[in-house]
Amino acid sequence: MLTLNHFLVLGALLFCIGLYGALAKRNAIAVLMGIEVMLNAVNVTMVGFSFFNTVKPYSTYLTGQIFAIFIITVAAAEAAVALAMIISIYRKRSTVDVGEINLMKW
Amino acid sequence: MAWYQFSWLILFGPLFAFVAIIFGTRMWDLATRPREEAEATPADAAHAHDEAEGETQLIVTHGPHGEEVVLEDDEDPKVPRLTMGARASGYLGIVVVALACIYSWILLLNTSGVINIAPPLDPRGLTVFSYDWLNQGTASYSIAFHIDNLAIAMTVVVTTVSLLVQFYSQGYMENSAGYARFFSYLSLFTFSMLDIVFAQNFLVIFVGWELVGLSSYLLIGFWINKRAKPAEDRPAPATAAIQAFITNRIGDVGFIIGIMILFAQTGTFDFGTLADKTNPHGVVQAFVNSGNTGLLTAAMILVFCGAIGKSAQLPLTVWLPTAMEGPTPVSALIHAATMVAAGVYMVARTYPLFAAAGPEALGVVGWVGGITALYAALTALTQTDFKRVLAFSTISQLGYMFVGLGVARGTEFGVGPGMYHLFTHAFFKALLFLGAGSVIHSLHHAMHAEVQDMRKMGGLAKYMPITAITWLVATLSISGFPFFAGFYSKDNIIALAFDQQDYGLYIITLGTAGLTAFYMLRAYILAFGGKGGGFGGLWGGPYRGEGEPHESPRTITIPLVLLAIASIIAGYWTGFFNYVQPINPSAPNLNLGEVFTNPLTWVGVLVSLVGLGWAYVLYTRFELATIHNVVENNALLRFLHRLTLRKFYIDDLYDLLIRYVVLGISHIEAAFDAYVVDGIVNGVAQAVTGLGRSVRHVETGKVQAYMVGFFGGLAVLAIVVFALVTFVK
Amino acid sequence: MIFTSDLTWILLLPVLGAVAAIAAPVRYARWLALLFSAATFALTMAIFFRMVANGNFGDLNHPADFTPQITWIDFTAKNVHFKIDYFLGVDGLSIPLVILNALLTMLAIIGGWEKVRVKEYMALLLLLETGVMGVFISLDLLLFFLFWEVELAPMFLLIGIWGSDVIKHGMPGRVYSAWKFLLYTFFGSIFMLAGILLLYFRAGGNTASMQFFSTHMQFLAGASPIFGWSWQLLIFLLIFLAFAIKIPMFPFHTWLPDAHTDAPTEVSVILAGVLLKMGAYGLIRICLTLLPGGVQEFAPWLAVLAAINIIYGAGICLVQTDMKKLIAYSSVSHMGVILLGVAAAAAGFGGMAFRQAALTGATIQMFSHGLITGMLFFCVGVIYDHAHTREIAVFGGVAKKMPLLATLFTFAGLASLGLPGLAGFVAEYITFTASYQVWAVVTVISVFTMILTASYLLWMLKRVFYGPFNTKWSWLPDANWREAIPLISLAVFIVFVGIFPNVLIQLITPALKAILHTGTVIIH
Repeated sequence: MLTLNHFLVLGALLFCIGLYGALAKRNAIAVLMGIEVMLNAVNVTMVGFSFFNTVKPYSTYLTGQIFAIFIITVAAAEAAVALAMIISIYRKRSTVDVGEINLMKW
Repeated sequence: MAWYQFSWLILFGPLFAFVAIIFGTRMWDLATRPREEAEATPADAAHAHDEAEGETQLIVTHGPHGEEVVLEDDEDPKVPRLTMGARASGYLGIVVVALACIYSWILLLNTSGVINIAPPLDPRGLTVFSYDWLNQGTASYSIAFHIDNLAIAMTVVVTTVSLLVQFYSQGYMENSAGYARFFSYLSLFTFSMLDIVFAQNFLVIFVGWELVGLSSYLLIGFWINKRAKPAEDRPAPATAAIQAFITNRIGDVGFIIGIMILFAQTGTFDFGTLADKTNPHGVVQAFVNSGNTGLLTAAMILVFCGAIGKSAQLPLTVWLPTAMEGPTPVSALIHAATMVAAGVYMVARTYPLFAAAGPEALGVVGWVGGITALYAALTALTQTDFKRVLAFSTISQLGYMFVGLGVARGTEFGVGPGMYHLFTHAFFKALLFLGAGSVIHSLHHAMHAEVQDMRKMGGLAKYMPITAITWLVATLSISGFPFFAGFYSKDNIIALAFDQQDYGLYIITLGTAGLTAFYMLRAYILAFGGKGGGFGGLWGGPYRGEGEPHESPRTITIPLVLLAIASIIAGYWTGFFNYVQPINPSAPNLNLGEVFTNPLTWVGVLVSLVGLGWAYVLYTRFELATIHNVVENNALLRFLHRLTLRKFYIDDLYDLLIRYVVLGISHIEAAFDAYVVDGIVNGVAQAVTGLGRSVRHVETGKVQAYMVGFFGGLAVLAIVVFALVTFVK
Repeated sequence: MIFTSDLTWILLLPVLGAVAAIAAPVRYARWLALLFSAATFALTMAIFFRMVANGNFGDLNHPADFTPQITWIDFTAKNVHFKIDYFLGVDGLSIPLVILNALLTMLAIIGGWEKVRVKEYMALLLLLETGVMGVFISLDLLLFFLFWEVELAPMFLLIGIWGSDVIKHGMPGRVYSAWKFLLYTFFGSIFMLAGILLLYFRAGGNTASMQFFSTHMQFLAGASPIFGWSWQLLIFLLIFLAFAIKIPMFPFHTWLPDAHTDAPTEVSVILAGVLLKMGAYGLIRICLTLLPGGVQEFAPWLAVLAAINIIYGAGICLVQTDMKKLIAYSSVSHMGVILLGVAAAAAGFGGMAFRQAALTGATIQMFSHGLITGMLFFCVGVIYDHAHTREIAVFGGVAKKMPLLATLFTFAGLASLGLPGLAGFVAEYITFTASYQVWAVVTVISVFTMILTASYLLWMLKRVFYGPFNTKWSWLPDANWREAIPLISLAVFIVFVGIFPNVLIQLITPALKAILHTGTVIIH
C-alpha cells in the first residue's frame, strides 16, 4: 500500500540527491541537472500531499498537481535560460566549471 | 546750555573728517595721481625707485621651505608731488580739528570762569548724545557721551595737540604716497580719543579704548612695506603694530573682566550711576554695603589692567618703545601726549569707584606707577635711539601720573595731581617728539636715510636753532627745572607722596626725577651739543653724521614754538585741581607761594639739578667714544649697561614665552585636533570600511558557495523551528 | 492658498531659478541665477520692512508672517497617526537669518561668476538656498527635518565637484571632505530624527507643530511624568547632537576645517555664513524653546563646551599655515560665543535681564558671524583666484600690489577680532558681559579669546599683506570690481550692525522674550 510517507521519503531522497549534485558537481550542466532533480523532488512531494489530502473541501482542489505543472513549466523555461547562459559563458571563458566562474566576486 | 549740548560736534567732527577723507578726497587723490609708475613693469619701477630715492633695496632671504625669497623694501614711498586731493585731505583734517580745538577752548575758558558766555556746567556733567542698544530693565547697554570739567580739560589737550601735530605733519609727511591716508588715520585717532574722553559709561570707554588701539595699529604700521633693521634692534613697523595691538589687548582682557564684575553686580555701565552712593545700582550699595569690598577691589584692579596696557606700565611696557617705528608725528600725538595718557584719564574718570574700593586698589595703581617710572628711567639711561629715549621717558612720566592718582587716596586730593601732570606732560612730551621728528626729518634730507641713532648726531643746535631751543625748554620742563610746567606738576606728585606718608614711593619718585633729568639732558647734548660747543657744550659741537642738516620748514617749527610756550605756561593754571573735580570744591589748589616755601620742593629741585649737572659734566667734557670705552672695560658697568640697554630682558622673556609656550601649546592643540579628535573620526570611518572590506570576502562569486549558504541556512532554520515546535509547547 | 504666501515663494523662487539656470543657455544662466537670487533677497527684505512697518516682529506662537497650516502627509495605521504639516512662518529670530541666507547666496552667485560648469554651479547654489531657507522658516518639526536633509545634497555636490584636488587620505580632498561632511551630518541627523519622533509620539502623535509643543509642553510637564526632565534631557541630547555637529561644537568640529579647505570660495561662504547658523538656530528654536528643562540640565556642560570651543579653536588658529583653515578654526571659536550665550540663557539661575541679554548677544553673533566670516572667505577667495595658493608663508607685503583687497581683508579681520563699531563687537561684548553674571568662571576663561583672536588674525594679515614686499608677487593684480562688490556690500552691513544694532535687537527681542518666558513657566 502506497502511503504519503512513501512520497515524502522519495521526495526527500530526490531532493538530497539533487542538492548533492547542485553543490558538489563542478560542471555547470550537472549543477543544472541537480537543480532540476530538486524541483522534481518538490513536485513529487506536492502531488503526494495533494493526493492524500482528505480534508473537505481541499481534497477536491488538485492544488498540488496544478503547482507541479507550473513548476515543470517554469523549470523548462529556467533550463532554457540557464543553458543559454552556460553557452554564453562557455564562449567567453571556454569553461563550464562553476568553480572558475566568479564574475560576481566582491 | 546749548554751548555744552552741541559739544558732540567736537566728537563727531573728526569722525566726519575721517569718512570724508577716506571716501572723498583720498579717492580724488588716487584718481588724479599720475599713472606712469603703475603701468611700468615691476622691475622698471624698482629701478626707477632706486634712482629717485636711493631707498628701495632688495634683500634675499630664505623662505620657510628653503627657497630664496626676494624681498623689496619700501622705506617711505614718495610721490613726486602731492595731488590736489591729497592736499585737500590734509586741509580737511586740519580745519575740522581746528574748529574742534577752538570750540573746546571756548568751553574750557567758560567753565574755568575766564569768559562768560554760558551758565556754569552742572558739576555732574551733561549728557550730550545717547541711544540705547539694549535695555532690559536691570541690564542696559547704551551708547552715551557726556561732558564735565574733566572731559573738557582732556578735550582741550587732545584737540590742541592733535591740531599742532596735524599742522606739523604737512611738513613732515611731504610728498608721502600715503599723505591722504595719514590724515584720515589721524582724524580717526582724534575721534577715538575723544570717544574715551566723552564716554559716559564703560561700554563707550571700551569702544574708544579699542578704537584708539586700532588707530595706533594703523599708524604704527603706516609704512606697510618697511623692513626690520636687526642691526639697530628695530622691528618692521608691521610687527610693531601687531605688538602694540596685542599687548593692549592683554590689558583689555583684565579691563573687560573688571567691567563684567561691576556689571554683574549692578546691571549698569554708567559712571554716574556706579559712583552714586544713594543709587542701588551704584558700587557703594551693590558692593560695599553688602560686604563685597574685596570683589570691588579686585574689579578695580582688573579695570586698572586696561590702563596698564594702554599706558604701557609694567609688565606691559614692551609695546611702546617698538611703537616708535611709526611716523614721528604719530609718536608725538598717540604714543606720548594723548593715547597713552588714556589709561590715566580712565582711572581719573572712575576715581570714585577706586576710592570706594579697598585701599589695595589705589595702592596697586601707585606702586605699579612708581616701579614703572623707575624701571623706564633706568632703561632710558643707556638708549641710543633718539625716539626710544623719549618712549621710555613717556613710560616713566606715565608712571608718575599713576603715582599721583595712587597716592592721592580718596577724594581729598582726588584726580588733581595725576591729571595735572597729564596736562602739562602732554605739551612738553609732544614738543620733545616733534622736535625729534624735526631732527630726523632734517637728517633724512642730509643723509638720505632714516637716522635715529644719537651717535650719528651731535652739534645740531647750530644747524637747527629753533628746534634746539624748543627742545631745551621741553627738557628742562620734564626734568622739573623750576618755573617750567613740569616742575609744578611733578614736584606736586613727589611732595604728595611724602605728605601721604608713602615714603617708599616718595624715594622712588624722587630718585626717578634725578634719573629723568640725567637722561633727558644726555639726549639733548648728544643730539644738539657736544664737547667744544657754545655755552660750555650746550650749543653746537662736533657733528658725527654726514651731509649738511638744515632747519626744518615753518610747518614744523611753528608747532614747536607754540608747544614750547605751552610747556612753560601750562604750569601756571593754579586752579586746575579744583577745576577737574567740581564735585569736591574743597580740593586743595596749587598754591605757588606755598610751593616755593616748602622745603620738600627744594629737595626735589636739588635732585633734578644733580641729575642735570651730572649729565652736563659727563657729556660735554668727554667724547662719546671715551665714555663707551670706560663702560666696556669695567665688568660691572658693562653688565649694567647691557641690562638697561636690553630693557632688563623683559622683551626677550616675552619672546621666549610666546615662541615656546604659547605657540608650543598651539602646536600641541593642533596635533591633538588632527590626530586625536579627527583621528577618532577617521578611525571610526576606517573601522567601518575595514569591517566591510573583511566581510566582503564571504562573497566569493561562486554559485555553489551561495547555495551552501542558502541551504545550510534553511537547514538551521528548519532545525530551530522543529525544536521550537517540539520542545517549547 | 499656499501660493499667495510670500514664504512659499521664498522657497520656490530659488528652485525656479535653478531650473531656469539649467535650462537657459550658458550666457544667460548667470544672469538668470542672479535675477532669481536677487528677487529672493528683495522678497525677504520686503517681509522685513513689512514687519518694521507693522511694528510687529512676532515670536514663535505669533509669527509676523506665516502660511496656513496645511496637512501634507497624513497617514494612519491602527493607533499610529503620522502627520506632517506644511507650515511656514517667520519671526524676529528667523528673519535675520533668512535675510542673511538670501544675501550671501546672491553674493555667492556674483562671486562664482567665472566658475567652470557654471550652470550647474548656480543651480546647486540656488537649491542650497531653498534647503536652508526651509530650515529657518519651518514651523513643523518634521518639515524642519526634511529641509535639514534637503540642504545636504547640493552641498555635497558643490564640495565634491568644484572642490580642491589636493590629495587627502589617499583621495582628492574634495571627495574626502564632501563625504566627511555628508556622513557626519547624517550621523547627527539620525539622532535628531529619533529625538523628534520620540517627542512626537510621546506627546500624543497628533501634530509636530513647534507651536503646539511650545504651548502645550507645560501642561504635559505637569500632567504626565513622561515629560519630566529626564525625558526632556534625553530628547534634547538626541536632537542636540545634530545641532552640535552643525554648529560645530567640540569635539564634533573636525569636518569643518576639511570642508572649508576643500570647498570652493562661495561654498565656504555659504557654509560658514549660513549652514553653521542652522545648528545655532535649531539650538535656540527647538532645544531652548521646546525642551528648556533638558537644556537647563545640560547648561553647565554646554557652558564648559562653549569655553573649550572658544579657546581651543582660537589656539589652533595660531599655528595654521593655510588661510582658509585658519578662518575655519576661527569659526569654531566664534560659534562658541553663541553656545556660551545659550548656556547662560538656559541656566536655571542668574538675573532674567542678563540671561536675555546673553541670548540677544548670541543671536546677534549668529548674524554678525555670518557677515564677517563670509567676508573673510570672499577675501581669501580673491587671493586664491589670483595667486592659486592660500599658504600664508609664501606671501609677504602684497598690500603693495593689492591695496583694495588688503584694506577690505584687514577690515574683515578687524571685524572678526571684535573691533568696536563693527558687528562682531556688539555680539561678543553683550554676550560676555551678560554671561558673566551666570557663568562667571567660564566667561572669564572665554574672554581670553580676545587676545588670541587678535593675535592670529593680525599675524596672518601681517604675514600676507604687510612687511617687506616679496617680489615674487609683483605681477599680482588687485581685486576687480566684480570681486569687490560682495566684499563692499558685506562691509556696509557689518558697519551698520556695529554702529546701530538697535534694529536687529528690537527685531529679535520679542521672540527671545517669549522663549525665555516659556522656559521659566515650564521649569517653575
